[in-house]
Amino acid sequence: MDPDQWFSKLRPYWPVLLLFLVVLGGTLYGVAPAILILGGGFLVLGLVLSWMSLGELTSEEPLSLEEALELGAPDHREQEKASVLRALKDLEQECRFGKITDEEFAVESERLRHQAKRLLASLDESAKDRKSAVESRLARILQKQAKAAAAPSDSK
Amino acid sequence: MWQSLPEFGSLVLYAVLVSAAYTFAVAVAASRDRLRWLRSARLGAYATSAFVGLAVAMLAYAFVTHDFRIRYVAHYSDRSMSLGYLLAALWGGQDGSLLWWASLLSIFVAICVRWMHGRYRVLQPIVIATLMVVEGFFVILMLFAANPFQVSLAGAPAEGEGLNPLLQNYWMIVHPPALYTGFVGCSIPFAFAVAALVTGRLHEEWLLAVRKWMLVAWLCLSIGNVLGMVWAYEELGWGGFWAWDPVENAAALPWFTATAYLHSTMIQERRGMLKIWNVFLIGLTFFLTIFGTFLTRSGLISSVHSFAQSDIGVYFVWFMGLVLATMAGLIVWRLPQLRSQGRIEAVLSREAAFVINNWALVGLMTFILTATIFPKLSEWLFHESIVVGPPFFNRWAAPLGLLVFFLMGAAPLFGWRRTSEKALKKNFVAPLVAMAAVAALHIAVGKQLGYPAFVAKDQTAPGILGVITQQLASSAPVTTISLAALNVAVIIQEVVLGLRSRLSASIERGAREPVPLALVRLFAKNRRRYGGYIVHLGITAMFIGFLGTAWSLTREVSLSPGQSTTVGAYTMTYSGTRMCPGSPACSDLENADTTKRMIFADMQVMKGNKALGRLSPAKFIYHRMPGSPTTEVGLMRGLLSDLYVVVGGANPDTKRAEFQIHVNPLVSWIWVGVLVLILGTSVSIWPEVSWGSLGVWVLARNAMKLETEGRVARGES
Repeated sequence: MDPDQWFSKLRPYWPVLLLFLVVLGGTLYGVAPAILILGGGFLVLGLVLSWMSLGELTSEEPLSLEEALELGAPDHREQEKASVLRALKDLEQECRFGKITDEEFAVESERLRHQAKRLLASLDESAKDRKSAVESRLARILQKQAKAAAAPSDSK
Repeated sequence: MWQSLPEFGSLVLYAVLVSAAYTFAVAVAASRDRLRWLRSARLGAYATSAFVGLAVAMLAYAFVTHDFRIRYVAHYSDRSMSLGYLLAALWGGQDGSLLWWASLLSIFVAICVRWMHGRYRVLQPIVIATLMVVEGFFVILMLFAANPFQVSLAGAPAEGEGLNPLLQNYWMIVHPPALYTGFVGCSIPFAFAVAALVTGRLHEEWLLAVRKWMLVAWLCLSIGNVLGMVWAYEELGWGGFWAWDPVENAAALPWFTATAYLHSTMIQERRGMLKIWNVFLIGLTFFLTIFGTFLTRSGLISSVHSFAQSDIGVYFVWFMGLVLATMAGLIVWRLPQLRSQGRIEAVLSREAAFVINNWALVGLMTFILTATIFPKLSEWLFHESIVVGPPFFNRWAAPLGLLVFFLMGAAPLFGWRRTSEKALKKNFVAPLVAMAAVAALHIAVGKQLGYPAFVAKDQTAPGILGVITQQLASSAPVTTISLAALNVAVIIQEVVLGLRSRLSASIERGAREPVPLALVRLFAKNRRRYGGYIVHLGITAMFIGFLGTAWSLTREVSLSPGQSTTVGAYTMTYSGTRMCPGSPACSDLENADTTKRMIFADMQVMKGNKALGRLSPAKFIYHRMPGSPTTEVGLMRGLLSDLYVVVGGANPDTKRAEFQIHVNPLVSWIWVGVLVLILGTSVSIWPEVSWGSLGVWVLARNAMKLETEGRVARGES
């Protein structure tokens, strides 16, 4: 494993390590040294993070899959869909509690269902674009693999 | 420059400023969908937070090591202070409290950036940029106007001046951080609102993102304000918990707008309405947090809480101007997208009740704000400073508060869009019957129990308006109790309806749930709704606590040792004074305290024939500040009433002492209420659908799609 990998693997444990050192320093030498260790930890952290941040700016390499996934976000329509479904649930509850009449429930429920359908259709629609992109990419990969497999037999 | 701690501290503040400015620039650039720059901005935000942490650690180190070269440390600490108070001194004065503000913000920034991991890709850069502007403002303030690391020009004194004795109270250790956390927490919703406006993504995404942050900020504001009340009640010794002091008022102002927002956001989520109003409320809440900080520090209005007058006010004015201009500009720019998708169709609807509730809350805030700054306003307008006192606040705030209290109970009974006559009758009958029954009971037996339904009040204003306000004030007890009954009845009805519906559904499924299990599941499945009801229950308890002041008794007496006095149901016998340390009657702990002289006036307390124990109100004279003796309250708490005794003075020869005795009914309900409020908000904040599972689900779906397409491409079935 190269140092970079070690570095990123250990990253989540830094706060725990710092806390351990602070507690150790505090127990052995008192509060003031513990605060100094904490400050030292913040200083190192600040400098390392600044360095990494600058490194990101100057890097010309494309993002790795892991990095891209880290920054990726679910479509906001997924959230809207969850919100509409929650509103539907609330509406059903209000109807059961007798706060709205059956007719009002029907109208409002229809409106929310229509909204949910529109969101689902729109999500599927956007997935269609991704689907064709994936299809063409896969086709290219398979073609490459097929060529690579054919090449040694040709040379024979 | 960095060889010594003060210089190193200042250098760190410059590092924070540079880091914040850099992160701001990178974040703005990242908004053009540059993923590497976004990663860089995220790391920059973490680095900025780490540097702020370093600055706080350096100041804490200076306090702990008594580095009196630093002016702030010399001014707010001395060698006799315990570690807890040394650390509390971090926010005990102006310069340190600004650093504390920045450090809490940096914690929020770090948590928010971590939380945005894998979500809100479009909003994220502007959220980070906005937070960096706020962080940068506080650092600029410190660097150029109130540097906590500034050295004393006269050199390091041998001993510090010490923290104000009034601040040497355990509630003061927790009150400012809680309140500041609430203030600072409002920055995150503000940053999201700015991001939504800048990017034009004004659909539900940002609203959902903001909801829990606003709830957290609101919870901290509630806790911070109530802790302030506890501190005032226990430490200031005037018998009450809220004196309408400008700084107290300033701390409460964002609470009202945040409460309004938490309700109006439901209308936008549900009906697509009030979009401008919601953005405005978030902007206003953030503005009020800055205004509150400004009011405490600028010396604009005199207050017992104010820090020393300084020239930092002008920085705040510029920043508040920037916030107002930015919000106004962005709202105007996005007006077409902020148009309402619906309208209020009936007055008897939940959205109409919420809107009235919003007006009442914002009205209450506006009233308090205007009355708070009225001395200054009147100076500008009439060239005469007119100060409005607590009676004026109470006269006008109470009716508005009761309107909000009524709407809090009534609003959940309305359905969205419109409520039919049949539903209205069905929903309102039980709560109104409960309200009327409690009101009748209160009128019938309240007086005998010591809680009369009507308390005569003087007419404080001339004319018909004066008569109306007098009548309202006189009937406040029965009105509040009736509205409390309405609120409790509504909550019980809602829970019973939900429980009944859940039980009948379980019977239909053929697996009847036991009632306790069904109750737990009802709350667990609808956390937002039922968490809100628990919060309403807490607020109801707090209203009952506030009402207690209507029945409070106050008596000033002068007693010689052996004499007794009776106030309400309590009889107190004064047994004499003792001075600690030194007296054999003092405890070991009291004798060990050499930082102050304590003069206790002991009293034995009886309620009827029952001995309740000893009360020892006192005066503390700190050796460091002999000119500012503090009043230590003798307090006996009870769910029905508190006995609150303050000693005014004692003659050292005759031992005759003056006492101020208060019997404060129901005050403990405020503290119980806030605990219930914390529980309810926690239930409400608890996530219903975890983002992680949503993300995993999205990834799993995409992975499945890839696999299927791969199989198709390979020609497999």
